[in-house]
Amino acid sequence: MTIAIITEAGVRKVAPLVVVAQQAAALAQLYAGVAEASVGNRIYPDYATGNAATSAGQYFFVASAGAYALHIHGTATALAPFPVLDPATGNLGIGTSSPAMPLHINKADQSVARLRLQNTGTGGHAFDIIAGLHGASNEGISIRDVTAGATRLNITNTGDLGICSATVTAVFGHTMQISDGSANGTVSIVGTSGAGYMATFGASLIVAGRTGMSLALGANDSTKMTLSSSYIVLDVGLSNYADDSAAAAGGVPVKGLYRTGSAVKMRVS
Amino acid sequence: MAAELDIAAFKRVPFDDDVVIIGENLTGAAFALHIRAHPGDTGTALVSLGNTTPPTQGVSVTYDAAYQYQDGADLITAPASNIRICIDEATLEGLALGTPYDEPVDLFYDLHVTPSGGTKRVQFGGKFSLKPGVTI
Repeated sequence: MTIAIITEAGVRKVAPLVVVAQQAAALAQLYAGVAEASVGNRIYPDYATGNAATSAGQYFFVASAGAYALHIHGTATALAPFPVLDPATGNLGIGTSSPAMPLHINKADQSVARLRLQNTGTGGHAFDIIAGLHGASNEGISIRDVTAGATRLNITNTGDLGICSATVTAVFGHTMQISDGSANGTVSIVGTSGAGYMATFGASLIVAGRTGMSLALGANDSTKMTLSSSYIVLDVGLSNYADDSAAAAGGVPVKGLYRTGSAVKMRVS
Repeated sequence: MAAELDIAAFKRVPFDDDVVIIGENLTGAAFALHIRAHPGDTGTALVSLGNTTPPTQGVSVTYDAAYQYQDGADLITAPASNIRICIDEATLEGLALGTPYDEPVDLFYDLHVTPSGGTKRVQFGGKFSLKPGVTI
């Protein structure tokens, strides 16, 4: 029979009958699965699933199907969608009682199948990483600027990429579609900026750098065209024609290039 | 630091009680407990206990890495050493009652603990009240 418990705080004498009663009550809570009335935010041992919280701020530790997990309940009896911590793996589940990854969010609609990152500092925005597409579809994955109300990145279920383009119209193969909300779309590859910036309109590909630029096009490990800040190289084998008419007869289209000797010419209408 | 703990025993029954030390593992420690009429007495102890295997008279310890006890409304789990003190009925009956004989006799005790590889210290001590009891 324990007559005293000595802790760092001092000696606590134990009145046997009281201790037995208190321990019995505590152990009954621990093992018998009895729900207790709420007393502030407490975690009560409750090994029986399905016990409901009787008031707000009540929480339960629940055993699930023979395993032990920490289930935090509010006022509902269901194990989901409240957080579940699986002590066997350390995985945290939200909306799932069987988290497969360190953080596993499981929801049935794009409106809530999200992870929100919010920066409340000056200039900060809130961003949602969405399993789905905001307001449109449960397919793919996207990143939405919640503060600006715009989808910035969208990867479809087929692997097509949309940048500032909520929808992606696949042409063939895999498509990257860029849109600024109007008919314009610009892909910029920009090095360290110099004075000012390159402004353009229409569908544009901008390749610009402080110390120069280079755009190379080719096929089969062979460069066919190089456009740099100091020269243009065409390695496409321009055909030799005497004049515009001869070039037209040879199949060179209007605005197409041909040569007359070493002179490079362009067909005109 | 030694804890002050007064304990009481009845003359006509064995004394077999536990004192739990929270936060310590005293497995392998050496124990010595003497009961004397007054602190500071140097004569032969009225009762002298050492390490034993219960329920044989003496002191023993068991370690529980997850001992649970109630702290107000909270159930606390902590490692603890359960020190068990056993004194035979014959030993207690051999102790003299005071005058008048119907009053408890206040003797004194303390428990020396020498942890394995550690330094001897007084773990707890205080009055050892011998109650005369009624049933013989």
